[in-house]
Amino acid sequence: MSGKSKGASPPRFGKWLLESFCSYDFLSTALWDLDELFQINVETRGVYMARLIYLREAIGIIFYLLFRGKSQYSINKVAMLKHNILISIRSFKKYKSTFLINLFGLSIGLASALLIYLWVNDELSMDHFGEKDSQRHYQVMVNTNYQNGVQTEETTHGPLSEALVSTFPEIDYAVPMITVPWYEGMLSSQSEFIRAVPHFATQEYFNLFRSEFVAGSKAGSLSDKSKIVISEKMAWRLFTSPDEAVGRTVSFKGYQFTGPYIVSGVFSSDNENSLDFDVLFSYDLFLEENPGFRQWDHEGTRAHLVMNEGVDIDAFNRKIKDFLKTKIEDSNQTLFVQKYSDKYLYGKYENGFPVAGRVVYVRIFSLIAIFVLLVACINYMNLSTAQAARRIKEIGVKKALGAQRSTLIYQCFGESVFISILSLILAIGFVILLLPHFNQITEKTLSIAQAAGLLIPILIITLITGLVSGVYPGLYLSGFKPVNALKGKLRGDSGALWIRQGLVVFQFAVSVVLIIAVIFTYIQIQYMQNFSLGYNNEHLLVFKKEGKLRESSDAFLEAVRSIPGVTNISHMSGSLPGKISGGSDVQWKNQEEEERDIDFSFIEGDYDMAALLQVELVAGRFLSRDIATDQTSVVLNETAAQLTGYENPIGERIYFDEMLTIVGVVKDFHFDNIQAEIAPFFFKVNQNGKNFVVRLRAENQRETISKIEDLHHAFNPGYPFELNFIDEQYDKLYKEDERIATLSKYFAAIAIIVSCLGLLALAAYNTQRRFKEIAIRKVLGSSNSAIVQLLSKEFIVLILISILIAMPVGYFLVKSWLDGFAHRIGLNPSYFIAAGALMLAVALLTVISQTAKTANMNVPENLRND
Amino acid sequence: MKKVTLGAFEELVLLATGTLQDNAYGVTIKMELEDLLKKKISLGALYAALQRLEEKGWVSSRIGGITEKQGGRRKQYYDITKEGVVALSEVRNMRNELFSRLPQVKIDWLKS
Repeated sequence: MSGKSKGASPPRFGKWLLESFCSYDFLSTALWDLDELFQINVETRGVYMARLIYLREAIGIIFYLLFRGKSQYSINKVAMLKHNILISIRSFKKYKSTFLINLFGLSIGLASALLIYLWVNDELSMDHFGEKDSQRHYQVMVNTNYQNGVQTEETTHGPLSEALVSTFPEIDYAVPMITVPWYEGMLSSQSEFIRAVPHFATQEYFNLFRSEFVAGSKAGSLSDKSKIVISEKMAWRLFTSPDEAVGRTVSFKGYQFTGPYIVSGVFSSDNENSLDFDVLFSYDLFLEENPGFRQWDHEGTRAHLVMNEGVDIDAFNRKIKDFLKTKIEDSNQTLFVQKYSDKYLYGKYENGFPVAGRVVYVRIFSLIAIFVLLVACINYMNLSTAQAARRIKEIGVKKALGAQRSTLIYQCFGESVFISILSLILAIGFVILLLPHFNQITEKTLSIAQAAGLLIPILIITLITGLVSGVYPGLYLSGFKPVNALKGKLRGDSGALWIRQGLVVFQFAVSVVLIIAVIFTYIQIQYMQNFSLGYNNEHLLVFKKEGKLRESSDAFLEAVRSIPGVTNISHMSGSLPGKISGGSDVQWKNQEEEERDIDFSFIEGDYDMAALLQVELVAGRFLSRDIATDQTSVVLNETAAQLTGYENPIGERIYFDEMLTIVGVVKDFHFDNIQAEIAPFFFKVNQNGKNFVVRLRAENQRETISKIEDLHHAFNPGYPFELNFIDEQYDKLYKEDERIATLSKYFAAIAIIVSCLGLLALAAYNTQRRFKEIAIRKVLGSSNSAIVQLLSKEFIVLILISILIAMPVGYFLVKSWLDGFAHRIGLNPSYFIAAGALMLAVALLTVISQTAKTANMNVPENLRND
Repeated sequence: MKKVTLGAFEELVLLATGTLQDNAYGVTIKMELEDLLKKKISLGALYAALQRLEEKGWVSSRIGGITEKQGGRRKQYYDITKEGVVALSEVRNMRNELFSRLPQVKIDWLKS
């Protein structure tokens, strides 16, 4: 052969494939041909194509060898593999129910593991953007030291990012951002207004965050104050298509600023990003509209930093810790930076350090996936070992013919891997079916296409599942002595029995623990949703006070009040739960110095807000429109009243930007998440409230709402009417917990079903083995119930043991979960008993359904069979 | 006894083996057929066909071309046997026989 180009060698993988499948004689023939072909192809089509063709041909050869060829061309292993698969298929055909239970159990286990894997993978990759500088992307966090602990926030002082860049050479550049939704406004292209959440950032934003543009160009898209970038969704709503949108002018109407802006780009809506916004303005525009943010006394900017390559972050954190003290006198705040991509999963802070946040759920569900899969593997182990007698002759013959133990173990592995691959196919079917529902629960957009990207890990999971399932049967079955095996005698079975029973106990213990977890999560969420807030949050409707309604709302208020289904309407600055104003530096008589740092919350609104919310008055009175001085009066809550230390607070005064007279005290109520400690709080009058709050009567709400909507359209044309119910907003606070509860419910159900399937098969096998004994017992006059008892007793004892084991495990798990809640349910023992009883009932039903069938059998028929 | 039959692909392989005379081995047969049929042929399929032909006794194989250069690898050459030729001509005769029974009028009509 001539013209060998240098360095061009056939792919090693292809060679290795052939070597591991072909017999020696055939190998050299095939390799010769392939090499020659390779050389020809290198010359005619280039090295890359030649290698590709080589691989394809090699795979083709193996395919033909395995399925079409003669066994003498392939090595022994391949021949054995063919033989083993054949034996497996025959045994599947012969023992259909065992096969189906194994297949079904493993595929349910695999399907749930796959779903969880997709979810976990999505969580782990959240906020990993892979843009140019994403790897060096850090965010500055601020720790504020209070008397009762450290609070960590991401809002920083306006000029901080600039100051950091000019002081520390470790920083490459900074991207200041405003990501709070308060600046919300509306966009329009013609007359229709669409609500939009704006964020503000500099051009370098696109170096850090993933943002595919569907139209327009990224470069320079925020270089000008008049340029904006909008989301694909917005583009479709405002214009006929994203391409149409680029270069067009839209007008923005917000609380702070309004004006025309030019759309310079449209970003794709399916960016995986924990930030959620519709329109991106330039940060310079923000500074222009809010010049105060150039001063150190304004907070609210997020400081995103891009560090230089190879900076020691710990050392850097030590350097910037006290940076604020050089800028602001007696500051009680310290700084640190956190890698941005870590923030999503480690977004909880204790004592000023990031700790595991969402990642806890990732861990919990990974564990659940592993346990459910283990439960399914155990089914397989138990069934294969319990039915060893069916295989004993085959094993005896093989051993007598000189099969080594390792060969038999391989055979078991082969069978278990084979069945788990079959299960994988079924599992993928399940996943495709369940994915829409799963997405709905988890609020993700997972797709089976994503799973295709994870093919190799999924195959590895499947392989491990097969190996774990096969390891015990392999060791057990291959250990028979040939002579005994040929005689059909099983080895002293007590060891295997023990292991089998242990595995059943493990399976059911897992199920019981899951049941306990489900019961407690559900009751805890119920408890939180029905928690008495201290005011009546039912039938409370909130919608925006904007447009014309901001200037003159009296006529509108009167019109709404006259609707029969409305009890009252008022307005306030924020909304409940939690979105209300706050501030520190509240002063009162005989105040301790550090008490000025304490944060107060307050509702600024119309006079009758307190009455509308139906909070309980303890002393004094509510604010009243008829009393002129109430412009500067406040109503405290009990916590605030206690804090001020006034013996009789009514008539006393506090100072907050102005002197305010205390006219009443209300009982503490939960204006935020019930898990949050109730802060000192007061009601105050402010006629510039941004939201209307309406209390409806319980009946005919739909009709009432449509009447309000008609009024809204009449008074405020062009503005969308969007409403929220406050009680629904409270429920949303527990959404994450509720999602966890729903998911654990499903996985608990799966664990129970799979364990019971295994139990069913074991019980069926056991009773079948004892047919003759039962028949004789019946002939001798034993009653059906006595036989059911005899057959079920063994299983029931196992279930009881597993319940006993599960109790303390469940207790500790549930306790550590509940400890995270300020208001939580007690660890009522009756719930544990209920969980145990449920498991016992399900298991009993499963076992008795089998044993009763046997007990009812026709005796002569069965005895005659032998 | 099963009737021994010659498949269409096997027939092509057998013919190519015969025409290549002394130089019939995997690559040459593959390339010959690819040239003729204008389509790709997998080596695996070719080996399978050669195996079946050898089993039926229509080709024989011999080892040759052991060289240092190929790292002790060997070429497996194939040759058509007498029985192979007989089988080929049988198939051909049968086909001719059938073809000759096609009505000439129809052929002319279809061709025009």
